[in-house]
Amino acid sequence: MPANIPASSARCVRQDLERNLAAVVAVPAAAIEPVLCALVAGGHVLLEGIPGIGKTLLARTLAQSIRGEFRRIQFTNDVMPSDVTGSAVWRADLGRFAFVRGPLFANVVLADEINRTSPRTLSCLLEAMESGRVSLEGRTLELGRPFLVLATRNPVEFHGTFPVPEAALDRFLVRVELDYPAAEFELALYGGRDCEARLAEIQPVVDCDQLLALRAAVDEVQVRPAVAEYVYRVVRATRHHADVQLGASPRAALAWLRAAKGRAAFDGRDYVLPDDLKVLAEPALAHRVFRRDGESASTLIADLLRTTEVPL
Amino acid sequence: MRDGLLPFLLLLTLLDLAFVQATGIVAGQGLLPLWLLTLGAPWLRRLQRWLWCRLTWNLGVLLVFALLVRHATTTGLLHMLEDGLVLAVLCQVHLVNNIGARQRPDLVFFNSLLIAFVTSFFAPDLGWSLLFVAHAFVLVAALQVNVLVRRGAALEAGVVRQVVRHAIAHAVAIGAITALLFVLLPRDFARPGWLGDALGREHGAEAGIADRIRIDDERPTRLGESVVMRLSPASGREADVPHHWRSILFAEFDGAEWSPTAFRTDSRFALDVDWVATGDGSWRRDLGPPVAVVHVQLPDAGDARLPHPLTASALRPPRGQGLSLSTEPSGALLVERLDREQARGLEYAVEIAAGSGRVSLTRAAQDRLTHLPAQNIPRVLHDLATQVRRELPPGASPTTIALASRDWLQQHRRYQLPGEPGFARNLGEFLIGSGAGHCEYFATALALLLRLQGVPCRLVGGYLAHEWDPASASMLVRSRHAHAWVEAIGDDGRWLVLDATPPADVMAPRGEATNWLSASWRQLETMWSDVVGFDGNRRAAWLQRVLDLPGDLAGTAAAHPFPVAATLALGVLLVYRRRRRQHEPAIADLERAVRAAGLSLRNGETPRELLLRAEAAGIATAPLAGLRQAARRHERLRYGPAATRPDRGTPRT
Amino acid sequence: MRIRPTELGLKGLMLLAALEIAFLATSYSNLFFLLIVFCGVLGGVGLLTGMRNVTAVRVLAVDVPAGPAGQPRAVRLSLDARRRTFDLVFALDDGTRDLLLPAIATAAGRQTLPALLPDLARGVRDVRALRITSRFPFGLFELGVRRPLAIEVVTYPPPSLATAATSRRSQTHGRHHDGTQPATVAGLRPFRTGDAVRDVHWKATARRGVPIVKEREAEAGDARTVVVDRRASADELERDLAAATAAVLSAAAAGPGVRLVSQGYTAHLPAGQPPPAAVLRWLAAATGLPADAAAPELSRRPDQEPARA
Repeated sequence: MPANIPASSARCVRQDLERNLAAVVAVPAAAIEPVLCALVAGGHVLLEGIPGIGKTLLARTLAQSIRGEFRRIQFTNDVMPSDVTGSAVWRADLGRFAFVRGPLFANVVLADEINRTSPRTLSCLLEAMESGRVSLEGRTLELGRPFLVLATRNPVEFHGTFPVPEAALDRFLVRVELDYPAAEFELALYGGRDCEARLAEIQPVVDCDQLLALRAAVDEVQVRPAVAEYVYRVVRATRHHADVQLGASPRAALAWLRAAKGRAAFDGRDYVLPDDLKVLAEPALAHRVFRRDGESASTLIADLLRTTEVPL
Repeated sequence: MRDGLLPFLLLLTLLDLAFVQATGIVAGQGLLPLWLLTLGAPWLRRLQRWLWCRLTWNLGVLLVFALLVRHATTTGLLHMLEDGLVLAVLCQVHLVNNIGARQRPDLVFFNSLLIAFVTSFFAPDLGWSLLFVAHAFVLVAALQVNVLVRRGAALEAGVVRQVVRHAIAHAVAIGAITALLFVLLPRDFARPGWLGDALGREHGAEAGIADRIRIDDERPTRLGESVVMRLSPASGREADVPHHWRSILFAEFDGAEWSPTAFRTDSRFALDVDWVATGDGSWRRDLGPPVAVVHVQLPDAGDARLPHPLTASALRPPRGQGLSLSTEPSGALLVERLDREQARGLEYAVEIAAGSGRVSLTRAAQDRLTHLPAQNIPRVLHDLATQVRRELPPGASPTTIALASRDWLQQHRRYQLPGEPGFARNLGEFLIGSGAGHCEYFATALALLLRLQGVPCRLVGGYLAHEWDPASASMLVRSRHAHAWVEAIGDDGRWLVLDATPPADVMAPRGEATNWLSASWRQLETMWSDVVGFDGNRRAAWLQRVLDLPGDLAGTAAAHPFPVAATLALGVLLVYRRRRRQHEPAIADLERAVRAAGLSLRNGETPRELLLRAEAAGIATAPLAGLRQAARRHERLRYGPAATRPDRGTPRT
Repeated sequence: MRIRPTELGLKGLMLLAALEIAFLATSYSNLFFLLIVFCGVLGGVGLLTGMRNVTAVRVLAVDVPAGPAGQPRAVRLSLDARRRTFDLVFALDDGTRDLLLPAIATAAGRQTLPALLPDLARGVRDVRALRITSRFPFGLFELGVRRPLAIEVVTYPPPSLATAATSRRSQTHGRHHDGTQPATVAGLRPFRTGDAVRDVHWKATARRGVPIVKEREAEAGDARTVVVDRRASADELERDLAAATAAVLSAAAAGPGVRLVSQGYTAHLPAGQPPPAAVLRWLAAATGLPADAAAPELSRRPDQEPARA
């Protein structure tokens, strides 16, 4: 961990971020944790849940907390790649083409209902997510740093949607399922002030540079053999499970470890604990394991965590 | 057969080929096609898809098979086993090239084992033993892989590695148990077998003393390392031991084979000074006063002949051990009624006189000793005789002729053992000089040369003692020291020892061990000769050694207490460290603390989760604190960064 | 433990015997002796190692879900292996025939192994033991141990035959009156807004004092009634059961709820829920009845209240 981010400050950052998010959106802490881990580990998040439970608000709060730029892309089937990345426009006044940046050029991007857009646009988005830059007409433009995509998928309506292929799902470090908020959160929501008002009161916790420094700390986090063995045990168990059609790949395991490293860094540790892995197993693995019956693998992974021995 | 097994079968077949190659029964590059076919099997197997390839292949195999059968039937029983071996190895190559995915390779395993068995009769030397050790490892591994591929699943490389590791352990265990049983199992080492010796050692010509000498016998000779005789001079001086120790005498030569002197015990044919039994159980003959006494130990007096030098004047069995000897008129000494105990070890003392006794040959005896067979005498012999005589004065005495002939052979003919390249195919080649020969050729050539010139002579089979062992002040005679030479009647009517074999070759030490590699090879050879020549005595010695082991160890410990204690401490330390590595103290401490708190780690529970559960359960403060500390230590040591820094990694408990 | 030489082992024994005869026939030779001892020790070590291999495994649980006949099904074996083991074949021993689980265990420690149970005929098998056999290490012997076990293997009829049979043999009750109303009255219930006046059961209304209407089959949770008349011939019974299974499983998937009726048996399966094990077990175990047995009691209402889809 670099010296400018002491262990205690990483923990403070995390607590402040959690406080900010809790103040604005009624999302349980268990759902927020993977998002924060993805933020610090440099991954992207797939949010799943019914509309209207505060996904956009979550993204905006996050952007504001890290003093970052927020953009939202509403995907529909007529959104073209250039609508996402931007395009060159003829500027008569300048007498040349000028590049107009698309909504992707931000720090936090909410990609809404990605299953509504055409595979072409989707792949463009995914490529940008993967590489952190956009290639357009021979020019390569860096996207924002940090760059976090929070994508949502509409699970209710299936009319006019495209299936999101497994490979695309693999690009998201974690997948978070958002459900209706718990009663006390929801009640607090009704009784409290307007969301926008609360959002306006949010103080930035950390700036983008500090976040990048934290991100560098993630790379320093170590994984000891006993912990790596735990990863392997769980991943192997998914592969040999009777109900599983396609088990977790080595890349899935790496993604899982990456997210766990993010959690460790946020906790001010430079080593991964099995606890980090257990907390992030379902968000990191469930969308990478495919059951025979097509159901979500969440419960299956929870089962496996219960039965897989943690190496001491 | 699955692909996972193929490499092992290939290895087995290669080892089988090596076994057969090592026996030398197939001359030169005869096995080269089979080597190539085996090495190419992974590619050749693919060709079997096409019918014409299969047809060609099978026709070829049939053809070779027919040739081998024809060879076996025309050359007689002698080559049956050899042809059988080639056939077996051909079968292996055929199988490894043709065995199908659904076929079981049982035959390959059994055939391979049989080849190892049969070749042990042909060439049981150190090379064979090393090949067999390799064979045992490969066979065990192949059997194990065979079990797994039978299930039809493709074998992962990791599984194969595991299996091979297991196989090595198994093979070592099998080898150790086999060695133990080999030493410990009581058995009759002199068991004749139902079929007697008819099938026994016919093919494994080991250097030694035979009842007959066939000079066109070109089979390779094994040089046995076992000690057949130990000669200890009473004076302790090497010079007091004569080199040539006679065991058997041959006077008759039919052109191909020397046979022992066929004289009856008739004094008319007496060729030597007679042996006379004395009252004290010893035997004497009148050769003058002894100049030296040599004690002879025969570990195995199986053939009942007592080797002695030409100049032996008395032969004394140890006190209380009566030997009833019989003498052959030719001079050989035989023990009559050799009992079991004696056959396992015989000792006697030989008094040696200054020279051999004067004998007066009868006419009949003289005729016998100058007799030449009517046929089978190479024409070149006459030319040689003429050539030798040309260099001598016309009226040369028999001694001069004998010495000149011996010297000429020593200088002009090359020495080699059968089986080595350049060895003469028959006596004629040796005489012409186009082929080299061994002692029997030299002796036969000399004997024939002498007889052609009217010098009475005979061929002697015995041992050439020349390996002096300073440690025991005795001459060691090994089975490879078996030798043949000539005795001829000299001018004064005394027998002369004439050794035509170049002494530099035959008495050459076997090459000093120049480096550790050849030294260890020599050591291994000696060990292996102990295995091949294992007998009751060695077994008893080994058992005694095992029984003495505790005492010896205690003695060593008492003599060198500090080094022994240090070694023991080192061993304990190593074991302890290994244990420690297997079971890290951090884990053990954590488990102890968990037990102390009255809890147990659930499946899938991390230490931190356990700690939370313990806190929630409200257990007593002391065990909880212990648990917390143990968990913290465990986490730091097991999950924490590899190089622990004190300021980091403190868990948030 | 059961020890049986395999074919390779028998051949090996014969070879060893032949070699032994050859050994005795010829005069003693150290090498021959050594080789024969080697072969014997190979067999002995194989036997001992095989025993260690096959006894190294403790069976924690065998999870055999109910499955359709004629199809292999995935089962799970929970094991605790003391050491790495090779070539273990697990067989469920049900007294009549061995149900084989061809699985090769190769790890040490606690583990769950996926295995495939071969296709079985319809029925309920009482498995009393798990047999573990292995030919490891050298394939000369097959060693087997029995581990007591008490599980039931339920094999219900294959649902794939269903659609054809449904229409022919199993009556789907709820015939429609003039295209709109199902004729059969399933029961009575209090009046709800929107009920047709002609459905009012006047007598009951008068008796209870509140409006009571007749409930029709179609309303009973959209449930279909599948009747399995077990007086049918063996072939027909199998077809009926297959049809009933299809209906039960389709109810579990997405279809309407199903009421399963047969002689002495009635079950109700709400839609969208996995079929209870008891129903599958009944389908697996159902046997034919003599021709003069009673017909299924159709009029009886299911005991439990039907769930609405």
